[in-house]
Amino acid sequence: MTPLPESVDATLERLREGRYVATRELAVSVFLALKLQRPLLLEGQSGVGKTEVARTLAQVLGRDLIRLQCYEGLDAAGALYEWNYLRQLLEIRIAEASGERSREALSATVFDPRFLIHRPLLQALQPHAAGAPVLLIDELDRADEPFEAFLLEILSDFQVTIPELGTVRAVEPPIVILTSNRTRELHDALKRRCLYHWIGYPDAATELSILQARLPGIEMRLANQVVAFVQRLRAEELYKAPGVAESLDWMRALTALGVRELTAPSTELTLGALLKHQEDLERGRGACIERILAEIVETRPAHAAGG
Amino acid sequence: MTDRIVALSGVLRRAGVAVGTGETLLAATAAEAVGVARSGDLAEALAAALLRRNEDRALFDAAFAAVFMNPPSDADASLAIPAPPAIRPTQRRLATALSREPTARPSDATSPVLTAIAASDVEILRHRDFEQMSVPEARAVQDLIRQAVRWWHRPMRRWRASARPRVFDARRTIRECARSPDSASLAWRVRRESPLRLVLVCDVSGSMSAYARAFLQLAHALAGRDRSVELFAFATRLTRLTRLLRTVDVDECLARIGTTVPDWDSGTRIGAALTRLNREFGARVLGSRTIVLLLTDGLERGDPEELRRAAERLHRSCRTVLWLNPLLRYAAYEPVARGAAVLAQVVPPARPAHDPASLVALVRDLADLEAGRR
Repeated sequence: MTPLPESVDATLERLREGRYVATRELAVSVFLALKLQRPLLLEGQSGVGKTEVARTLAQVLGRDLIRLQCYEGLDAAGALYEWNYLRQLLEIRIAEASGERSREALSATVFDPRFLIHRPLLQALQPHAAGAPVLLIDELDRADEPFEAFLLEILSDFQVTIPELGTVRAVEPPIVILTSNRTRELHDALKRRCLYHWIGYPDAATELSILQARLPGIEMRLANQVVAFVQRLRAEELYKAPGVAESLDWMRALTALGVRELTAPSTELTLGALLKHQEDLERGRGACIERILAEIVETRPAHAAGG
Repeated sequence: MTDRIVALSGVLRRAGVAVGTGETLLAATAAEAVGVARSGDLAEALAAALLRRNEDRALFDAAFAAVFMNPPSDADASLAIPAPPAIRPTQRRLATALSREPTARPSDATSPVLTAIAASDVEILRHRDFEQMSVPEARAVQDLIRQAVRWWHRPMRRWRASARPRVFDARRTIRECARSPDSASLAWRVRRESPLRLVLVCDVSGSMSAYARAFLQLAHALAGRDRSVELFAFATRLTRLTRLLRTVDVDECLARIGTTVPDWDSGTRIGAALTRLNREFGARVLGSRTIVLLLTDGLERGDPEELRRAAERLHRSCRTVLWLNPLLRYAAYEPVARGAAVLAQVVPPARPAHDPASLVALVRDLADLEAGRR
């Protein structure tokens, strides 16, 4: 079992091993979450690498990653456990055919652990060979409030009660990472159980190191331009500003097309990798591209020196 | 160390950040875990333990500097942060929060604005006309509105039991079977319906500005709650403001709306604005699940015929139009002005919108309307 990092620096180092370029601030929060065994709530715009924190942690710590993707209407049946109804029905039929009429005996047969379907939260509470797993509860803001309240219970005790079977308790609490895009405010009671960290858009230098870490062997000149362009594009008024995920996509797209330097036509053709709203695209296609490209050209020497 | 953390919690609490004893304890543990070798790490650890909203971060940083860069004895007394020269409303609020006001506030205050005004005043405030409000009163109204919206529990896209055969509910069937094997029957379920979409259309012409401001606050509160809110403003021409609603801070949001709307305080052309709404945005924002909230006094300067056509079209293409008319504050008001007369014929009767109570009632009715669809 890989031991947990002992200090903030070690955490930073481990994340870097997993090709995740973290700010020191993020590393402090991650370190505390591991050390104090508290759930970590990561908020930020989409595409800034919230989910990736959990993936990287699982990878570098050698733990299992259990992911619960939230959606509106997610309930205990989808998140915790469900009975396998078809097999249960079959079992009832068999019991009937064999002349079994005792109610207790029937209950015991039907609610046997064999018929239990383990959903992510229940999986996370069960013992794992590699140590406590990383439980990623992704986009919690998309789930509704009843689910939040339900989650609260699990995050405080790391145990659940299945009426028909009894209580399941985690031997070692899982490493819990919650993410939210903040389309709505999460309830305070839930936040109180967690450590909180806001992941913002990275600055130019950080974003460049992310591109380098994630896409080894890229053209540095182009990467510099991509970062400078995206950083400026984020300042525009858009429905959805491009995140780091979009920068990575765009870099991949440009590389795949064999582009070596940003020009107005190549930018325009690939803008769909950055902007995902028709209104934003229109806005981008207009004067926006040329203005930003012109700005980049002016400041390019500074960026080249910085990168 | 511990007393500094306690002092920091106290400062944050006084500034309106909800910090409980649990958070303070967690902060102490966190501080111990990272150590004090690097003040940046310490600040980050304390922030992770004490804060729960990114907006409080600026406040935290200032408070951290004040508490940890000064000797503990006079940390509390020397909180006079130099007033920032900046204009941003968030920063102004920060400066106010950090200056030690002699006002006695309840220790569990989560809302500095509301508590600054005594509780009894809030009740009076509910029926005060927006136009006669002072600035701090208008700020307190924000909290009233926000609270009203907070209690709006929207229906979920969840299953509910159904008496009639719809979708087979295996879970309930099995449970029934196990409970009483002899009298078991099949159970059914249906989906609850998804929430309504709101389109807010706000008249910002000269006669309306005080009411428009309150309405925009309502828009901001609703949007924070529910993503399916669209906002438009018009005086002589329509501007789509939905994008600006994403601005998290309400003061900043209003300030940005103020600079974006080109025709604030000018004349009114309701007909032209609604025509444009239908034509350019109709397909995207209107539909059978949409409720349009139209705030206007109906003092139309344009062509009443155009208004009639546009209002009819709008009324047909959404679930319902709720016309909010601040002029209803006058008991004897009749919709005789040209535009108001046309609107009164086309859409359901206007509702009042001149005081906080009427907006709070509106939120309740919207919630009921939505609940009624289940």
